[in-house]
Amino acid sequence: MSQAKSNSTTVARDPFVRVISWFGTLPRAAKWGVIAGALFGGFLVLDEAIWPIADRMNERSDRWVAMLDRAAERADGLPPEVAANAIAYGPNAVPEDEAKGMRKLAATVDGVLRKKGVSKYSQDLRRGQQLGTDVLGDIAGPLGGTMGRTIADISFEAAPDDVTAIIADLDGSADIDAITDLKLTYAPATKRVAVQMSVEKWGVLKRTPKRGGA
Amino acid sequence: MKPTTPTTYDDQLLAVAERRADRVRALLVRKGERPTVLDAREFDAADPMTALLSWTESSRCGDVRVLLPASSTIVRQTTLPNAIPSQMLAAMRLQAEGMFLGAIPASRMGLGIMPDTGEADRQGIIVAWPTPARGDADSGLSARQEKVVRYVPEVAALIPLASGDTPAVFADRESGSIAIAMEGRKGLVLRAARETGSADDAADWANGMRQAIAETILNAGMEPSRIAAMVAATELTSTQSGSRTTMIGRDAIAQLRSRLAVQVVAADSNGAWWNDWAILLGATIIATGPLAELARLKRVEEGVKTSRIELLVKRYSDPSRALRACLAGFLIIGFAPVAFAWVRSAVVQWKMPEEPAVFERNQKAIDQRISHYRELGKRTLPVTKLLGDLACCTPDGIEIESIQLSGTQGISIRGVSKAKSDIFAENLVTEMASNMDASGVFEKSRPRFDAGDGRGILKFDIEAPIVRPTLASQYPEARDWAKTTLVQRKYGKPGDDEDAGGASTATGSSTTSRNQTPTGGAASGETAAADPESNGTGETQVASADAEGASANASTPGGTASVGGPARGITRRPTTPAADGAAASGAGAGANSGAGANAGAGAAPATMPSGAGAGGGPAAAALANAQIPSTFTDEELRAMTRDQARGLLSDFAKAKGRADLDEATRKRLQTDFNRILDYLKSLT
Repeated sequence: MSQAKSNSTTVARDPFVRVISWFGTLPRAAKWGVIAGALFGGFLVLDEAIWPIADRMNERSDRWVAMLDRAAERADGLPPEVAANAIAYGPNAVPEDEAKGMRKLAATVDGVLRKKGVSKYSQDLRRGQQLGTDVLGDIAGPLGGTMGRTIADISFEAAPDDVTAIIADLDGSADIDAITDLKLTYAPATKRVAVQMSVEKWGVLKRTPKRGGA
Repeated sequence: MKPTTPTTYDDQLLAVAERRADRVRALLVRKGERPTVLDAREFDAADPMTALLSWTESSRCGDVRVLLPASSTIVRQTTLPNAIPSQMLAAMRLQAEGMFLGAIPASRMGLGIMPDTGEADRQGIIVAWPTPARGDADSGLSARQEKVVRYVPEVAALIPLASGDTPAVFADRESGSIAIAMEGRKGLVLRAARETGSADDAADWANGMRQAIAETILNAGMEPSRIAAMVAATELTSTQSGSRTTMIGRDAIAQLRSRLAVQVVAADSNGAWWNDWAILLGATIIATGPLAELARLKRVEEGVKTSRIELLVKRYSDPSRALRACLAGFLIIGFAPVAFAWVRSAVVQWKMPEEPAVFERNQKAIDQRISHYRELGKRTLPVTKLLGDLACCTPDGIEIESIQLSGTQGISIRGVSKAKSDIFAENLVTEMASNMDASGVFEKSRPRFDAGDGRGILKFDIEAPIVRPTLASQYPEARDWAKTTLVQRKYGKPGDDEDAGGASTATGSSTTSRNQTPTGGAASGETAAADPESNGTGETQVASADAEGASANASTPGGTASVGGPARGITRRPTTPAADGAAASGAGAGANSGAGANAGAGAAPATMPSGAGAGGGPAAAALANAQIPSTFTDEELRAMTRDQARGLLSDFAKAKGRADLDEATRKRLQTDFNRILDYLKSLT
């Protein structure tokens, strides 16, 4: 008898049996309510808590797969126009904050000219010229702004060898994106070259919130 | 692998078993006129049925009967006209089908005809084992084991124990099963009942059982006045074993003793043994006697193979199991996507060459650089590269005074062209424009020049739009400053033969012969083959240049012009793009090879002002009067500065140009010339 009781107790402890027994005691409407509640609650738990985890993992995997695909394509070779541009323009730093780029631009120009013994030069900086919202949005977007450029108009005189070296140094500097306009004029009398050039550095112009007023 | 020998079963052996909550009890019986109980065993292992079947197999017994609880069965009694047994069985089968409307398969139905008592009618017993609506409870037996197991209804096992004095009762409180058998006035009375709702209360259970006994006695035709006494007498015979109650009279035990031979030692030594094993002994008598048909029930009809789907449906018809399956399904539906996503993520991560975060950051940087270069290509000009292109397009004899580069207006060049000994100044200008167009970087160059003066010098300007600024144009080696330095153009490459200084430098030049008429704005398509003699004599300009070509300076004898002659082109980029992503996107490697190289960018000219050479006469005179420098020692050479060495190189170059040299002198000059060149190289 004690064995029977023990078994009976074991059965009663089985949560599934208890649930079914409890469910059997419910009125018909309550049974439907329990079923609907279980289905709805279960779906909510899955949809709100569990499946979003999988979604996030899948999004990350998709991003990685796309990245690997692009890397594999690049391993076969850069697009010809990009390779040609990279070769033609030399090293360039990815644009960052415009103000920072401006400071680097001015410092680089000054440094290169002084290195070649050109201490007398003029430099006119023009800041904050927008390049358009569609330009390098993938860089400017995350930094919360649009792409702009700082242009430095420089003029100086130097010996021909120095001029070529200066141009090469400026164009080769990662802190200068491009030399846009250039005018070289050789003066036979002085055997010096007068240089007028515009160099530019691109950077992200941060959007400043507009101040409103009543 | 050891081959398995098929077991040879003894047809005369029979095992009768009773399943209890935690164990199985079994008798091993040899069939015969008087069945013999050979052994009695209890199995209380984790899987007692498997242990039982192993035991029967080892005992070569292939016939196993298991008691079927009375609560699982339905008992019907009927009367049949006395006939031959097969006819009576057929009639009874028809009756059974009528009773149960074919809902119970034949394998789950037992039929028995009681022995002839001399009366006209015979009593028939039908025991049916209906399939519960929710399916059979799990028997715990495999399909193979199920094949050898047959079932004996408890109520049938009580038939040999029934007497007229007190009913034989076998009840299980746990399952609420009650089986009762009694000999009455009208014959045998059998009852299989289920007492529900009283298992937890001992008094209720006892009352329910008492009531069932009373009803059975009443059905047996006993006088009502005797019922209470008979119930009491029955209860006096009660013995308890676990949840099971057995009520059997002494005469029933005597009956068992008389009909069975028992070789179990405990049967002789322990008086209670017979009572304890009575139900199994009764089943033994039924299974081996004329009512054996009642003891051959099978769960599944033999020969009918249950499909897997049916088995599955049956298996999950149990609500508890179905609920478990639902919960498992919910968890699978819920977590499988997460598991798959994790596995996919791990596989992709495994494919990455470095840590995902680092790789992602690097790839993002590369993407940004590519975008950056694309935009730069659309909006700006690679000025240094264009100056290099211009240098490669500029023939000897052109002095550039002004260069203007603009993204919107293209290139504008102004300069002076000086005729060479065999080429008109106009031809040099048109050749330059032609070279520019041929490069593909510029297009539709528009050269303009004035009439020139009597010395063959004219001023010119060229304007051209820049159409493909980043195009890596392929220039002839002789014009490509990246491949042929100025000094190599002028004096040949070190190690070349004697006339390298003269002839080889001119071989690549594409100039229009003086004998040809200038064609104004268009370059002449004909190119003159180099004339070693004329070029050799025309070399009045001596360049002093370091062999590495970092810079090159040239000076005319008359000091009319001073130009920096780029030795490797004006920052001409290597023509072979760095194809790999790292090269292009990383530090922009490969894009800056020309840094520092260039001279002509500035005031001019990647070309040598060839005033002397162009004019011919004075230069020739100067060349003829050039002194032959004396040789020098290595110590003297090492003591020289770069400028001194360059000056000396210039002297040797001039002297080499003399036509009146004997072979030995020419050889010495060439040797010393090469020594100076090597020394200049070593300085860099």
